[in-house]
Amino acid sequence: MTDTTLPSDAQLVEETLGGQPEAFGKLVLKYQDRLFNAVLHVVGNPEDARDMVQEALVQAFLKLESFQRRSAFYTWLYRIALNAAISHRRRLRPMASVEGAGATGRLQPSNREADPAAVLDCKERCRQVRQAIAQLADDHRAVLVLRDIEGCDYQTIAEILALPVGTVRSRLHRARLQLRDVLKEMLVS
Amino acid sequence: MNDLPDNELLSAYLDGEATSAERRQVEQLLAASPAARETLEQLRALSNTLHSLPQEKIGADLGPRVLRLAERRMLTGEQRDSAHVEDAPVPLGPSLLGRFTRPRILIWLTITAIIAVIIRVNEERQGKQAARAPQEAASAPATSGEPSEPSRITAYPSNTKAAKPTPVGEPSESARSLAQSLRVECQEGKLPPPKHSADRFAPAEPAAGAKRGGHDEPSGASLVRRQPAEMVMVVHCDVSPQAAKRRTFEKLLARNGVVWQHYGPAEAGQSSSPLEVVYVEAAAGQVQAILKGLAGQRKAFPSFRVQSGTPYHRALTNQRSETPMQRVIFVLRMRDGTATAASAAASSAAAATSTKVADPSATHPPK
Repeated sequence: MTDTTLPSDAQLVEETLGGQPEAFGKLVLKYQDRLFNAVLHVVGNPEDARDMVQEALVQAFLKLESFQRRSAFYTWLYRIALNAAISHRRRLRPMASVEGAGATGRLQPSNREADPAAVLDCKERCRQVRQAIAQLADDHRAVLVLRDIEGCDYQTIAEILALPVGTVRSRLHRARLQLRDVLKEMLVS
Repeated sequence: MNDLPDNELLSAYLDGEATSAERRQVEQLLAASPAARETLEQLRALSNTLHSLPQEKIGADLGPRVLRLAERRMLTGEQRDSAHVEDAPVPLGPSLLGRFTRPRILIWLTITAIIAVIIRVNEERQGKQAARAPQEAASAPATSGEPSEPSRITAYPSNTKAAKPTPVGEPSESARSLAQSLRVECQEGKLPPPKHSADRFAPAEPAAGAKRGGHDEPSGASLVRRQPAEMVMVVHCDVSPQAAKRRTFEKLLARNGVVWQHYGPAEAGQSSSPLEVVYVEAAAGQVQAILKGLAGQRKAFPSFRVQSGTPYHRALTNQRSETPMQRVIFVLRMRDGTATAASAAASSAAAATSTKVADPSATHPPK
């Protein structure tokens, strides 16, 4: 059930611009966890992810006037956070592109030596999935995270990452095929 | 239609993002190709697995910290490690700073406005009498426990570099008493109660409004709007004991060519007091440099907070505004300071004020 008394993002943005920073605090509270979850899957490190989310929120506040309202607020917020996260990741460690991931073009299945019994454990499965995601190329990973973890539609992903929808579609499919190959055993089980 | 597995239409079909024509294509493929059906099922299983990953949470509410950081950056122009941020510099201006003008801050605004008005009124009232103060003060230095007019600064620090020394104005008796009251109230562990403070200074407000605006002003907030260049900025700053001992804050002022005035025990050499109030008049650039200095020395100044929304706060970052001189009251608090015998003794000497030459080594030689 939707609580109609909750102010919309647009209202909170207007209130913030009108001199009520508490309104921005509500936006922070509303999106910080979602943003953190997405950024975490892009940068792969909770400390970095937290830092980057905080920085993205500060930047969003400082640049709120430049928000054109042509897209949803969270789209704009994700754009700030994910672009920064991707740049950060690229600076830290150049990732192999999906096309260039080894001679076979396949990613390496993670943690082959793990105890088979532990693989069934939910935590272990999550860890393996995250490791597999981390091996994707940055541009592919971002699309996959936004679609399959955040549940964004293609148009929103295109807006966040400033890509044509066709590019989103092809990157997503390739990322999925890569992940499927890495996690085939898990998916069968 | 492409062959499997490169047919991205399968993903689009799975996600409901295919057009009706594309859907028909995919359905034909699925009907004809077991491999296509298998791929689609694998992609579906993968997508379900990803969707079922637990949502990681950040833990605490970032809101207050985000707002504090934003405010600090507006004030200091501090660019954090901005390798993380690829966007253009933050445009600063009144509209941005105006976002901090919240009701709680308006209370402070009102108090600050009233303080400033009293300072101005008294200074104007004192007029030429104040201009004679340097000579008088030079010939008759203040004695402990007996307030006297501070002297105009005539000497500047030898270690001043690029910054041009700024002569401090003539803080009036009222300015001293206000700063002193601020000190006392902070020392008691409370912010100045808005009602109490407003009542205390209420008589000055209509007079000031009439004088400066030509008619009475109903509130401090409207004074703020009317006279943005006349206000006082209040900065609350924690100081580490070591920094207090080394007079790091005073050295920061000196490095920026700023002269200051202590209200309280410091001039009596009791630097161990847990709380000091320092009055500064300086150009906008100098104030900004001081704030940058505070932000850049985290060990010495673990935290500082500017009274948000004050007109000086606004003027500070509004480059178009012409604010040749700014008045700032720094409330310095020793981080682990507690009420000690020294501070108790300091309280008795608190009424004394004196003007420091902007060279701490002259009065507090570094050890």
